[in-house]
Amino acid sequence: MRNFFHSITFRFWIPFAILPVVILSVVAYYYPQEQKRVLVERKRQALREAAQTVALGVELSVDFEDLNGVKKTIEFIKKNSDFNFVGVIIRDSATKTEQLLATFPEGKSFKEVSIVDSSVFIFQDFPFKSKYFSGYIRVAEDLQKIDEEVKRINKPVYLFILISLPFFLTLLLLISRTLTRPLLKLTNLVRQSKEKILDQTIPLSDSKSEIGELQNVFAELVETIQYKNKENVAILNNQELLVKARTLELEQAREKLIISQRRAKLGHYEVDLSSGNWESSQTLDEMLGIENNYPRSGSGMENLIIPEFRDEILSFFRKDNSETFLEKEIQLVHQGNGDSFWVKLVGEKKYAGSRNNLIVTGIIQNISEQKKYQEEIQRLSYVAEYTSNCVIIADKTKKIIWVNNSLLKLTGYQQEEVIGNTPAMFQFEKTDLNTISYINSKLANHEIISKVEILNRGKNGNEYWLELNIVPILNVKKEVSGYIAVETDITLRKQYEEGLRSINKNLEKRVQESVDANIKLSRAVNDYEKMAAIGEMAAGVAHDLNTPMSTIMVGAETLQYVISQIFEDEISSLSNEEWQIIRQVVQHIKPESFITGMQLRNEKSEMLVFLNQQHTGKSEETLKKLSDLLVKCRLLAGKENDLILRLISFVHVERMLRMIEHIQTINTIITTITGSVGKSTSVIKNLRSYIKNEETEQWQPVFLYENISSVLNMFGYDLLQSHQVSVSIEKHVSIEGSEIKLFQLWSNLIKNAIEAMKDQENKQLSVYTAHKEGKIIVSFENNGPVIPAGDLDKIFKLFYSTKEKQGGSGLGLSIVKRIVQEHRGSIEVVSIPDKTSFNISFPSSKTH
Amino acid sequence: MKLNLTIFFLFSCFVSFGQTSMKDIAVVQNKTGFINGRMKDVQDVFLGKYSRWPVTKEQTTIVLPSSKCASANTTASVIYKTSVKEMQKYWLSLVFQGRANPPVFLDSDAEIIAYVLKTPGAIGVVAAESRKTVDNKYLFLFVE
Repeated sequence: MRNFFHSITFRFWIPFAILPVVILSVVAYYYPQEQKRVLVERKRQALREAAQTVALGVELSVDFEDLNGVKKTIEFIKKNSDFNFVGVIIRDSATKTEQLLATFPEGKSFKEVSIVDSSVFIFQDFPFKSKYFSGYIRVAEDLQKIDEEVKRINKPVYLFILISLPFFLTLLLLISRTLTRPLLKLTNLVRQSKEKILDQTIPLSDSKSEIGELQNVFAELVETIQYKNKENVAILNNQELLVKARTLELEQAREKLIISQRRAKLGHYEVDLSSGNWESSQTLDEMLGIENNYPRSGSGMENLIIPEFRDEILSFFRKDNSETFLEKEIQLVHQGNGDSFWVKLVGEKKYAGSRNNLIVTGIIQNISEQKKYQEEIQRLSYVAEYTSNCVIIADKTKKIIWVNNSLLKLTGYQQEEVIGNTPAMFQFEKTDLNTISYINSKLANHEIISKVEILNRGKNGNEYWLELNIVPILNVKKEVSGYIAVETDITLRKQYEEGLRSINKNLEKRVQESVDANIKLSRAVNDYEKMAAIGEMAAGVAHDLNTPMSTIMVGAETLQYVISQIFEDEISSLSNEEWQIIRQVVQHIKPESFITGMQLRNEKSEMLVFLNQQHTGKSEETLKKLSDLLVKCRLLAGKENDLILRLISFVHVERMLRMIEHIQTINTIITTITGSVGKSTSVIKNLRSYIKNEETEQWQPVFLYENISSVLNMFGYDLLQSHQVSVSIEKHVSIEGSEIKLFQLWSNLIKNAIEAMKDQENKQLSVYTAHKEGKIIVSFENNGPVIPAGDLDKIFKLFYSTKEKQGGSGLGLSIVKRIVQEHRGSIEVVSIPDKTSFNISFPSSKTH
Repeated sequence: MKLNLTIFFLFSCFVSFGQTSMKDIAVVQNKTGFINGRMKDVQDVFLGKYSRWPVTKEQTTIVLPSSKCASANTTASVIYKTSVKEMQKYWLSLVFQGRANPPVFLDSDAEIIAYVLKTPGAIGVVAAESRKTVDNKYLFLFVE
C-alpha cells in the first residue's frame, strides 16, 4: 500500500480530483434506483396486506351474509393504503373461467384488471374462498407515484452534486496550474536534456516556490552530468580502441585455434545429459560431415556411431550412468559420404551451473591415419615375425636387438643367446673374408647392401648359405640408428646350382649341334625366297599379258561371228546406191564407246516417235524393229534426221542397217584389238625396262572417263550381252598417273566383278565417281555374293585367291592394291548382301 | 360491462320465465312513501337503485332473506330472477363498489317482518303465506 502511494506521481492528481465527481455521479445515478427498488418492495408488501384485508372482509361478509363487512373493509383500506384500484375476480371452478365481479373505484374492465401492465402498475393478489364462491383480490398502484416519491426524496442529493461539481472542477484547475503544469514542464526539460545527449541545459528559475528550487537543482545536476559525460566519452574512446585491439587478437587466436584443430583433426563437443542435446565445434562438424541444421539430439548422435560401438557409447551419455570419464577409440560414420572412420573419443562428466544440470564435455580426434599406420605396422611386424626369411634388427653398434622365428629355427639358437651379440657370431672359418669386408665397407658408408651371398654356421655346426639384404635405418639427422637385415636361406639353391652347372655343359653341346642344322636350313630358305620372287614377277607379267590377249581372243571370235552374219545377210543383193549410203553412214557415224541400257531405251522410244511422225506407211512392228536398228547404229532422232529419212526411203532398209551395225562392230573390235596389242607391247617393254632398271612409264593427267570407258569397251560385248551396266563418271575429271597401269587397275576390277557375278541371274554393275574431302573416289559396285568378313583382309594379299579352282592366280587384287598405292591412293571394300563395292580414292588432281 | 350483462340477464329471466310469481311473495315496508307499487319500481328498489326514498327522503334499508331462510329461493327467483348465490354476488358487487348500502339478510320471515316494523324506510320480501301472521295491512305493499 505504501509503495502504491509512492508510485503515484503528480500526474495522478487529475484522476484523484475527478474521482469524487465520478463517485458522486455514480451515486446520483444508482442510489435513486435502489431507493425505488426498496419503495416498490415496500409498496408490494402494503398492497398484499390490503389485498389480504379485502379478501378476509369478502370471505367473512359473504359467509355471514353481512355485507357491511365489505363496506367497512373498503373504507378501511381506503384510509390506510394508497392504491389505484381494488378488483374482485371470481373463478368458476367448473368452467375454469374468471369473471370480474367488481372494482373499487368502479369503472375498470376485466381486461384492465386481469392483464396489468407491469411497467405502469405494481400489483398484488390474494385469494379468498367463501361459502358461495371463490376467487382473488387484486390491489394495484401506479408506479409513477413511486417515481415521484423517489424524485421527491432525492432532490437534496442532486442539489448537492450540482453545487459540488463546479467546486471540484475549480480545485482541479488550481492543482493543474500550480503543481502539474510546472512539474510537467520540468520533466520535459529533463527528458529533452536526456534525449539530446545532455547538449541542452536547463534554465535557472526565478520562482522561489518548491518547483522553482527543484528546477534549479536539476539544472545543476545536468551541468554536473554534462561535465562527467565528457570525461566518460574520453575514457570510453580509449576503452573502445583497447576492446577493438583485444577483439582482433581474439579473432586471430580463434582462427589459429580452428586451424590447429583442423590440422590435428580435433573437434570439441558438449552434451547436455538432461535433454540429450549436444553442441559441436566447427572442426568437429567438418570431421563428421554435418551441417548446422543436423539434429543435435539423441537420434542425431546415434546415427553418427557405427552399431558395434553404439550401445556402449550411448550408455555413457545416459544421465543415470555413474561413470565420469570415458576414453575410447571408436568408429564414426561421415554423414556426407557414409564412410566410417576411426576417432579417439574423450569425455568427462561435470555439473554446469546447478547440481541438476549434468553435462559431458570432451574432444573427438580423427585417428584414421594413425589406425592405418598401426595396422600397417602390425601387418609388417606379422610378416617379419612369420616370414620364411630370416630378419635381424640391430642397433647402431651392430648389436642384435631382435630376430624372428625363422632365424632361430635356422641357427638353432635361442632368442636370449642371440640378443646382445653381433651377427659375426654366425660366421666361421669358411666364411668368405672378402664378403665380410665388402659388407663392412658398405655399412660404413650407410649404403644398402643387396643380394650378397654368405656362408654361415649354426649352433649345431650346420652350415648354410644366406642371401643378405641389409638396410641402415637413418634418423632425421641422417645418422645411422640401426640396421635391418633380411636374409634368405639359399643353401638349397646353391646345391641346385652345382647340379645345373653339369647339365648346362651337356646342353651347350646340343645347342651347338642344332645351330649348325639351322644354318643349313636357313640357306635352303633363302633359295626358296628367291624362287618365289621370280615366280611372282613371272606371274605378274603373265597376268598383265593375259588380259589384252584374252581381249584379242574375244575380239577375234566376235569378228568371226560378225563376218558370218554379214554373209548370211546376202550382201550381194544390195545395190551400189545402197552401199554408197552405208559407206557414208559408217564414215560419218562413230559409234560411242559405251552406252547404258537406260540411254538406249530412251533413244529407241524417241526414234519410234520420230518414225511415226514421218507417215512412212510401215507397220508398227516394222517401225519398232527399224528404230532398234537405227539406235544400235547410233543414228539418233534429232541428230541425223536427214540420213534417217534417206535410209528409210530404201526397200532394204533393215538389211542396210544390219550391215552398218556389223561394219561398226568390226571397226570397234579392230580398234580394241589394236589397243590390246599396244598394251601387250608396253607390258613387255616395261618388263624389259624393269630388268634393265629403266623408268619408262610417263606420268601424265589421265582422264578417268576415257580410261574407264576404254576398259568397259574392251569388255563391251561380254558386258552388254548379260549385264545391266550403269556408268556415271564426270567426263572432265583427271588424275595424275600412268594410263597403262590405271587401265590395268580398272580391267582387273571389272574382270573380278564379272567373275564374281558369274552364277548370278540378274547381274548389275555400276561405276561412278564422287568427290569427298578433296579426294576423287571411284566406286565399282556389283551385286555378286558377299565376301566373307574374314576374307576382306586377305583378298589384297599376293597369291591369295578365292577362285583357285576356277584358275585364279591370286594376283589380280594384289596388283590393284599396288597400282593404287603407286598413285598415292587407297582402296576400301564394303561387302553387304546384294552390294559389294570397291572404293578407290585418289588425291585430287585437276578438273578441266 | 360484465355487471350490466348480469343485470340484463336477471331482467330477461324475470320477464320470460316466471314459474313463481308475485303471488308467492309479499313485499313488506315501513314508511317508504310507496302505497301502491309497480313491479318495475319494486324491482329497482331491490336492485339497490335508491339509497334514499324519493318522497320521504328516508334512507332505504333493503331487508332480504338469508340463505337459511325458507323464503330465500322464492325471493331470489321472483325479485332477482336468479339463485340465492347470484343474488349474494349482485349485492357484494354493489356494496364493494360503494354504490349501495349493504342490505340486511335475516334468517326467517318473522325476523324480516319484525325488522321492517321497527325500522322506518325499510323494505323487505317474505313468503305470501307470512302475510297472514301480520294484522297491519298497510305494512304490505300492493304490487300491480
